[in-house]
Amino acid sequence: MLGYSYAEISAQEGATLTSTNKQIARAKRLLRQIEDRENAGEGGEDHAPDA
Amino acid sequence: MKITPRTPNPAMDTITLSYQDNTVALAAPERFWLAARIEALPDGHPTKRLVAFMALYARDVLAGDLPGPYTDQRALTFARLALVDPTRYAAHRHRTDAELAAALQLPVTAIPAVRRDQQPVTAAPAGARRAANHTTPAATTDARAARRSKPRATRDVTVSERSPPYPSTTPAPPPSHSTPGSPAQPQRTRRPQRQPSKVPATMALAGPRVRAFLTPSRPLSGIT
Repeated sequence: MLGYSYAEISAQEGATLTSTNKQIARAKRLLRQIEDRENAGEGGEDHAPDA
Repeated sequence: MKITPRTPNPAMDTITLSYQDNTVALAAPERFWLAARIEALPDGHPTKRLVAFMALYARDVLAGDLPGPYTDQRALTFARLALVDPTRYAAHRHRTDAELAAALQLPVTAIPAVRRDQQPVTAAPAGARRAANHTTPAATTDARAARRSKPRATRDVTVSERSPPYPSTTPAPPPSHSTPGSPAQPQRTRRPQRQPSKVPATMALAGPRVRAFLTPSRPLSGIT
């Protein structure tokens, strides 16, 4: 079959699927932090909105 | 032969990935396809790794696991964050871009962005400790990396020999095996037993809770 399945990335990396999943989880978490920080910076105020 | 019209299949959605102004892959929810020049690279090649993880990001956007819309810039950031282990980065951060790229198996051109990404990442876990120690993020990270690279036997010696950054309330232990001017012996030293001592005048003004805060139970790390 042409192309790669996403699971094949682990094989290409020489890593287990578990470790690749950890990498993905870390990237998602950090990306969210970066985007939150950027959004806070765009707003000009770095505090939680009023309840 | 009769051709029946079919409704669009969401599973057939695709995203085209670009890297450095070149189309490098096509991602679908179940599979991805690499451009020929990326496909030809050996497995583990820095660019191929980066593109593969960009494809993973595209898949998650297609699947709705990550908020869209897809952008190559965000996919690249995702790939860098996934491929850089913060601990490994901290151990190699003072190297040149080329050396760091080799250590992290990433393209050299990605290193400036990696340094930018990792700045808050490496500082964040040490936040609470840094506030207590009044050290810089770099000093804290460096001290951690240095401790990890040392065997345990020398680790204790280093900590016990460090002069405390505050007026100590316990008397200094008598010199045991080292003479003044001699180099530190890389062997485990016995920690001095805590003895009741006089509280300095400045400390006496503080209440017991403040005194407990000002007097850590062990020497603080990360302070030179």
